Amino acid sequence: MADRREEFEKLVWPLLDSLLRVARRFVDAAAAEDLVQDTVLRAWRKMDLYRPGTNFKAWIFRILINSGINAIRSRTRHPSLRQLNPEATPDQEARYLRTADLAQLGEWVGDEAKAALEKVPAELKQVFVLSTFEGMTYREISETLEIPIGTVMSRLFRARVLLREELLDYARERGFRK
Amino acid sequence: MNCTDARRHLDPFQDNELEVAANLEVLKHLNLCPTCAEIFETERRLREAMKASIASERASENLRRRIHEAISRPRARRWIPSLASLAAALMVGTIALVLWNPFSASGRVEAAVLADTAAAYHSVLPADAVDVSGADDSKAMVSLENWFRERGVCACLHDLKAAGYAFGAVGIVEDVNAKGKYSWTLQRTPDGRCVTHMSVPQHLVHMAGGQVMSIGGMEGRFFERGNLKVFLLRTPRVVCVFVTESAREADHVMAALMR
Repeated sequence: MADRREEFEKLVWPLLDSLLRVARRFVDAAAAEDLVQDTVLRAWRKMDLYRPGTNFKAWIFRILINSGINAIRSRTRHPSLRQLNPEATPDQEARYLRTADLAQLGEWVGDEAKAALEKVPAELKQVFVLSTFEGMTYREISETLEIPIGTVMSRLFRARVLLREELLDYARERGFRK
Repeated sequence: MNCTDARRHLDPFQDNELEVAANLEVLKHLNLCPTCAEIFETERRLREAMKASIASERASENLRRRIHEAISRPRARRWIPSLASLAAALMVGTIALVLWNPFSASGRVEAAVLADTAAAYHSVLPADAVDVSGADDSKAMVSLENWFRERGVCACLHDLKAAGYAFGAVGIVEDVNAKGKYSWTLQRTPDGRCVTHMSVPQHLVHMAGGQVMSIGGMEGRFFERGNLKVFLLRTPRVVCVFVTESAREADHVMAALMR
């Protein structure tokens, strides 16, 4: 029992910060701690279902996303009403941030982007967070969320377009973008 | 590769997901096109800034401790007998069973652990459970309150008569750290559906996990334990834990509680 627990803790402790950061993108700080604790307990109870040698990180993040799914769906704080423009093409330069925009946003650019991320719908944000913050490969994300790789790519693309547009809007509001 | 192609590859390029040949093509384009090079560089810096902005978010020592404690506890035994054997157990009246103690010496019990405990006591009655079926219905609440009071237990009782249930058994769940005794009741319908209810002082419970819900304006948490559906309800004084045998039954009981 104690050995089993130690083995489990060895796998879990290095991922705890990551689990918390991902949870934190969907719920507030206190709820994120509860969600992570609940996730780890579930993982511990289901440990006999985990196949050693397979991707533990993908497995426990799947539990996190599944157990928090209701909270995650209901608490996307200010979902963007923006619709992706189907006519938009990648060659429109106006749709990308430029060096000057970053300079204007200054040292808080990360915080602004984090705030903008709150407006991205949960389904897209899950993929974005696992990719950008957790550095998961498309294959790992596909395993974690149990969706095809093509879906991972299209959700990532849509998440990033929305994020850029939120930031560009912000830049326009501040008056340093026309 | 032209600008449109290069930008189409922006995401997989930044994510290191491109094949070697495509990667080289993008790099070649970026060397020739300052506009695209700027867009790619800005995107890279934006990602770095976002990563940096969450770098300070770390799991607290308190969270680590809570998790360590929770997984160090032995698990509740789950034994889900049929209703027939449950009835037989009631006839016998008492069963000597030692269930593990979910209350840590220092602090509070997690809602999820309490749900485990209540689910276990749904199937295996508390050691001193008494059959009260057939008691005079009109005096049931008063006599049950007295029964608990005589044993030094401050009970929270919910009569589910409105939902078609009658009290079948009562018992006491003892905390082996001698921190307290908690009331346990079993109510059932004439066709054998069963609800058990435990109440624990609010300050001993950490309401977390499960599916968050609101029942009559009070905070609730919903857990599934095998076939059993367990929900916790935070009242001003205690946390009530109800165990039912189906989601429909749980809805039924919640509706009765709100009446």
